[in-house]
Amino acid sequence: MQFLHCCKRVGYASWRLDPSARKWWLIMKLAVILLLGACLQVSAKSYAQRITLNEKNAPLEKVFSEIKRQTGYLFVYRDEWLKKARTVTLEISEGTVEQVLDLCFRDQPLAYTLVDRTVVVRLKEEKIEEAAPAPPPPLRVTGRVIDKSTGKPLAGASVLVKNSNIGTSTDAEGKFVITVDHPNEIVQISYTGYQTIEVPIGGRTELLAELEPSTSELDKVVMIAYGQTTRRLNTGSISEVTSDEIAKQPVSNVLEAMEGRVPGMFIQSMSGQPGAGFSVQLRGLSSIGSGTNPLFIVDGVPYNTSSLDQLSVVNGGLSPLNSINPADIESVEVLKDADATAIYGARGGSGVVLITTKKGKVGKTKLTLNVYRGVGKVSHFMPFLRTPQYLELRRMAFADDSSVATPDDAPDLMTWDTAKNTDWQKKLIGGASQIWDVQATLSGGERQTRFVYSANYHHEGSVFPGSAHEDRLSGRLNLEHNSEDNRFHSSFNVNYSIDNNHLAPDVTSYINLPPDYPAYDTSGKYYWANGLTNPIAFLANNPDNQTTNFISNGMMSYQLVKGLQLKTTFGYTQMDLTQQQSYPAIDQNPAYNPSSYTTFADGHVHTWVVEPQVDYNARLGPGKLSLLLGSTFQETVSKGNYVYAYNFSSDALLGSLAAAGGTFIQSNVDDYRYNSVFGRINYSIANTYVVNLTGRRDGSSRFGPRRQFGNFASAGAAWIFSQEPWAAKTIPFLHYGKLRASYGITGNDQIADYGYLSTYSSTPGSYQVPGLYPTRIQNSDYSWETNRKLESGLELGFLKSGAILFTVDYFRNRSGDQLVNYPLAGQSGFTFYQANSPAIVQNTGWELTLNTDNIKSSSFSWSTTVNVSIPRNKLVAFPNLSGSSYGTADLVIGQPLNLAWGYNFSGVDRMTGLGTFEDADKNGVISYPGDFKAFGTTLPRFFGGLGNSIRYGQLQLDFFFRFTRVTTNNSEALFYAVPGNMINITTAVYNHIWKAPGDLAGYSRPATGGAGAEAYYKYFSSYQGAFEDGSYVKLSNLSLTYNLPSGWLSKWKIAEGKLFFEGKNLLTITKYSGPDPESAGTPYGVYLPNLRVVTLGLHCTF
Amino acid sequence: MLLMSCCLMCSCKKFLTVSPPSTQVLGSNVFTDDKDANSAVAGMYFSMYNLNTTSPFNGLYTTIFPGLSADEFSSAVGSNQPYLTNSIPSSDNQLARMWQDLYSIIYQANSLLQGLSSSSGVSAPLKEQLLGEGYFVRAFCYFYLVNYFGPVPLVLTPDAAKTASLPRDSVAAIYGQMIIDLKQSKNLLADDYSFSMNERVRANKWAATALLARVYLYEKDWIDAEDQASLVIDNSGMFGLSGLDSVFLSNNGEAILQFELKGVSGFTYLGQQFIPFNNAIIPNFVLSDYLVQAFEPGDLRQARWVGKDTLNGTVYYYPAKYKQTETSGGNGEYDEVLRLSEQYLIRGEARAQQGKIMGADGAESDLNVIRNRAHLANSSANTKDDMINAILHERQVELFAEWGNRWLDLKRTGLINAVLGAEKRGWKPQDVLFPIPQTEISKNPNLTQNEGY
Repeated sequence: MQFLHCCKRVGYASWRLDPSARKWWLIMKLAVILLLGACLQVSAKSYAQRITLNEKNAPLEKVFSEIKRQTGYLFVYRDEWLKKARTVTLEISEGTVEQVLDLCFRDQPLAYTLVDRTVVVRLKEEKIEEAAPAPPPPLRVTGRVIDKSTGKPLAGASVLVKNSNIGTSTDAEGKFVITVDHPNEIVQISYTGYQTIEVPIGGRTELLAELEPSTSELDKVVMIAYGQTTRRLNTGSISEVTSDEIAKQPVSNVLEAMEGRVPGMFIQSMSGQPGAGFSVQLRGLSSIGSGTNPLFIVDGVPYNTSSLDQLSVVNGGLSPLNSINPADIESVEVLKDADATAIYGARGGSGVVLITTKKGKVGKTKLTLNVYRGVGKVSHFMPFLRTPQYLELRRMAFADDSSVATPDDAPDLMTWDTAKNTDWQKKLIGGASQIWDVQATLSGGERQTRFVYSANYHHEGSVFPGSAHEDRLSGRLNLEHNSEDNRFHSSFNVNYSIDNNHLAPDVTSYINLPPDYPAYDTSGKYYWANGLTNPIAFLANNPDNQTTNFISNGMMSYQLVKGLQLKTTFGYTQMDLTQQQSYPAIDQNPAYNPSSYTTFADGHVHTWVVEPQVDYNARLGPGKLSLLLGSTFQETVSKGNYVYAYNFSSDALLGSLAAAGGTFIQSNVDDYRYNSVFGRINYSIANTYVVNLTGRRDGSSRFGPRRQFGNFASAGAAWIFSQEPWAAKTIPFLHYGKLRASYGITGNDQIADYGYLSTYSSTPGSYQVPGLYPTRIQNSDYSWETNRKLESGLELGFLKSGAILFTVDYFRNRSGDQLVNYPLAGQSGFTFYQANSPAIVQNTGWELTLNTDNIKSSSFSWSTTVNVSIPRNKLVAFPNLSGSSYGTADLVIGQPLNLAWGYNFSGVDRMTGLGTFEDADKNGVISYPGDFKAFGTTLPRFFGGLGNSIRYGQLQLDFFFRFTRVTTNNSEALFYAVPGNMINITTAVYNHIWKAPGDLAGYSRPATGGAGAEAYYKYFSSYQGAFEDGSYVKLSNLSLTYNLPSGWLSKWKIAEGKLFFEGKNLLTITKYSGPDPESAGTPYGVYLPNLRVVTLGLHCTF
Repeated sequence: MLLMSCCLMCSCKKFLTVSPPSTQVLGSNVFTDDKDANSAVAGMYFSMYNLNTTSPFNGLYTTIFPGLSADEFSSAVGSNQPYLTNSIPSSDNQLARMWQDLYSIIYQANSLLQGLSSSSGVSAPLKEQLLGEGYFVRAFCYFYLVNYFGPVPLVLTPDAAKTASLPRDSVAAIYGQMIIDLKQSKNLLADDYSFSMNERVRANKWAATALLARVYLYEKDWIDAEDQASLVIDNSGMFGLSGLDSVFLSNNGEAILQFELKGVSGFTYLGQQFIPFNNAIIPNFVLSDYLVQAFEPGDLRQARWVGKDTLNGTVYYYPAKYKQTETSGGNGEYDEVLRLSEQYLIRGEARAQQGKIMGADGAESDLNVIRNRAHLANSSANTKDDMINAILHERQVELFAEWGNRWLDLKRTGLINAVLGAEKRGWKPQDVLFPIPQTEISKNPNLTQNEGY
């Protein structure tokens, strides 16, 4: 304890030493000297202490003890050295210590050094530094700090005289003035994101310090809420995906590039269709009834990520993030804990994703061209039966049901050409999606003004038959300017994209059509069979979706006085989506009495935000203080119309609303306003201790007038213990070590607007006159969910400049005041109303990351990154759960939220061939809900990624694996295919079907209906039938780059050129029975699996 | 800038006050003027009838379900199967929706009644008409609730805090309330269709009278049933039987109340469900042999109101009262809610029960009016029992696949166990009532389940 106490003080030693600390400091230093048997070069100062001595031929040892007695000076020496020494004769009265010692050591084989009040004795062979002369007069030094490569002045850099408390920081021009006691002092200069350097003054009065951007992972800039820091000094839990990682992947949505790379963030693509959505869960499912999307912020401006898609053209809806070109992104930071997110208050509950786009850099104007061409295909097909086996199964089913096939119910047996075998899977999803991507970027600038201009064209085809495709065209301009004196800064960014999505409707759910099903009749018209959809006709209804997206944002800042900066960020984004899908009667199954109709939809959302901020940085006591105070004004208005138009004058005019005889219209307008005040206090001492406090007072229009405001706050702290002097000695292998912890409260307001009002809406159609109907029951008494987040993390860097970086995080988030659709008995007129429930959902988890530079040399380097997340989810409390609509087969206290429910399948009866199930409530029948049990969760048990990056000469190879351990929907249950019905099944199922009495089978007997079919429907509702192990390991990305030799390039005046091969989804290792465990689908549909994509491209910089 | 933001911060509260959405009207503002109040009533009718499955009166709940539960159909599409086999589980989703949808209409009616009663902004004659329609619709909803489920909670206010946990009330109490509502409604409503643009698509005095006649008949109040039915039948200036081909056309003379289709689609939900797209397809709902064989030879209704598909030698019959499925057919048909023919049969039965069998004021004349229109000869029934049976039989073939009349007739006459017990395998006496939806019981512990579920 005493030791620890002393260490802490030593930590402050370089700032101000009190005498007792000084003593400890010396003892430690000496201990080390003795241990190493080496000598420390230190300069001593003289003390005006007088000594009187009278010795004759006295051994040195005796003289030393006399001096020690008179002055208290300590002597440090080795006994064997003194044995070599001669005796001394002295007669001194009132001499100084130096005088006495000089006499003692005259003609001795020994020399001495004074370290404060200690005399260190050493052998004379070694060169001795002269004792320091009397202190020279103070020296005034002026200097300038610049970026070594660009020459840009670095404002606000910290300038410190080493081992002193003298310090200052640079002004807007990077200039500083500092007064030092000694011309030989050393100045330490540090700046966020740059390597810290030490400049010996050496008597100069003018210095130029050129800083190089930091190469250490630890000192790279990390974006945080309303600012930036470094990984070293960051107190929160933040993960980053860089532009390098994104560039190596042939993706059109940044979320896809992030899959598996962010610990704690579970991303799954919901379909392999271009433009499809992703489900994103950051640190688990925290809410029962409201949204759990992280807050996305693009260059400081909140970005709408909820799909405007009203026609549900793809599973999950068209993702708005598809409108952002991944190549324009510089970095994506994912903020996870309270320390990082509480400043976003009521919106930070599910985490925050900061997307920062690329900015121009000082230097020569650069033109970069990047072109790639690729092909996407379904990577795994299910082994369906061929016609003969399929027909045999059908006949078996009729026989088992003791029924006779008729042309009505078995056209596959009696009417169709049974010699035909169509592989519907290959026919419907076996095509190749053609991909083109062209990207051009122009960037450059000088000290005051920098710019980036980029344009991108991206084309993606479909694997379905036909010409479905998506085209995206986007352009972006970024301008930055600062005034001559560097006090004024501004940045402006505009991005516009047009996305034309002519997607085909997803026909994946029809891949199990009977193999002899004819798509066309003999006359060449679509063929229709009772109960079957003709997928070829279905595909004819190409929807047409056009998204335009305008993002603009800007920042202006002005340094009022030193350390005080005023700043305003502002942004405006507007997204518009227009959709149209026509359904001519001719393309629909006549069994459902079709008529021609068209659905038109449009959605618009615009957001503006203004955030004035004040930033103050100063030295305070021994540390640096940084303060932030800001305010947010935000409004998001969304509008939409949905028009169902019918009774067209001609089927040729289905695209014209004017030709519609009747319409059915729904409109919505939502206004969301948001206003808050936020602040942050950050205090750090010597890059060793960092404390970070944040707070926000939030007001949101989503809540009733009395419940609009709430307070959120967090406290975080980090201790970079590797900075401690003792650390270098006791754990020398540890280059970097940090412990951090945080606790705080964030919120979640992802619910519909106006939920507190009792309102009437217009009916979609009219009844003589347009109608009004009640849409909501009033409850103005609810507010946001509160998410209490606790986090602690340990970060370790081993070897020089962190060649091995290891991070482990533990978190516990408890989300309360759950916003649920509080169930109401239907007799009240409504089945629910919006309310807070005191239910608590807990997410805990471990997140581990390891980055290693295995080999690093000029010709060969190899680095590895691994991350694993182990999340756990639990419903801790839910008062009156059984009385709520979540009680029957949804939630269980003590269990995770997403439970896998089902009957317990107890095998197939060997005699009857029918599936049997456990009668849990022993009431004699297998019925819901009595026999329905929760068997586990469909939330991932663990997931993560493993990446390797290898460079050999001109070749660069990167590959990345993702893995997930999860239970997912069984593919058989998704197709709801009863073997024996007019639906194809896989050979895997076929082989395990009960076929004759006595069979030990996995599946019931084939059936066309009746008890056999019922047994299957029950099986599909059983846990064993509805769920299966969906764990997988995927080689999700591989990139091989060849850097063209510079000899060639210079001939063509190309600065940099490379050829690359990139692939995604190249290999999947899984036991899953369906096409893809990741986009397995839901019981409401089977969706196109993620495609395997391979691309070849060229990248040039001029 | 700092100063500016300080100023702005002071106006936080104001900044957060968003005006109500421009696509919605605050509940408190709906009943403050004629236009909005009228729109709320239009919205109530629209909620009752549109092609969406959640509109309780488009025919799924009120024609298909009871038709399947009785003996009108012999096949059903997938999820409706439990209704055909009288084995509806209390967890059935459609059943829960029916309950919720009917009560949501009652909520609309209650909101209307409460909003109008306390409103001074709506002009007096309109207010009376709208109030009358509110009472009528409420009674109409309870008629189906009480007949399907037996005792149900009697909800008479929109205040959820008061109504969400109400227990079931007695059948008698609910009938009592229906009679009160209908009498009130009769007094308030207009006696012509001028307020609904001369279309027979909103309840007027005669709709209330006709429904009241039906309620009295179910209550076995023969005298009142006869009186109310007579009031409608005697209004010959407004009502008269139509030819068989016109009965389901819009605003035909027999119609007392219809649902308008223009704002919804050009065709009825039932037409869309019953009529196959082409004659090579098995109809979704095939009429049962019991019903098909109930038609006497020469009954023109079989030719005009029953469709027929012959597939591979098998004949499938389906209801064809509504014939339009294609939008191109225009808006010739409206969904008929109350019609004069039923009033004749109500009066006939009420008279027979009172022993008035023969003669111009006897059951005989009412029955024969209906028979003759179907080109059938006068009935030979001449005793009370024969006459009652003859009228019941006539109701089966006249009102088939229409508003659940067969199911409700079998129930109210007590014949159900004898008839369905003989016709349907596995029939149990408790099947006369549908189960109370399980989700409702779990949300309102005061609800009890019907016997046998």
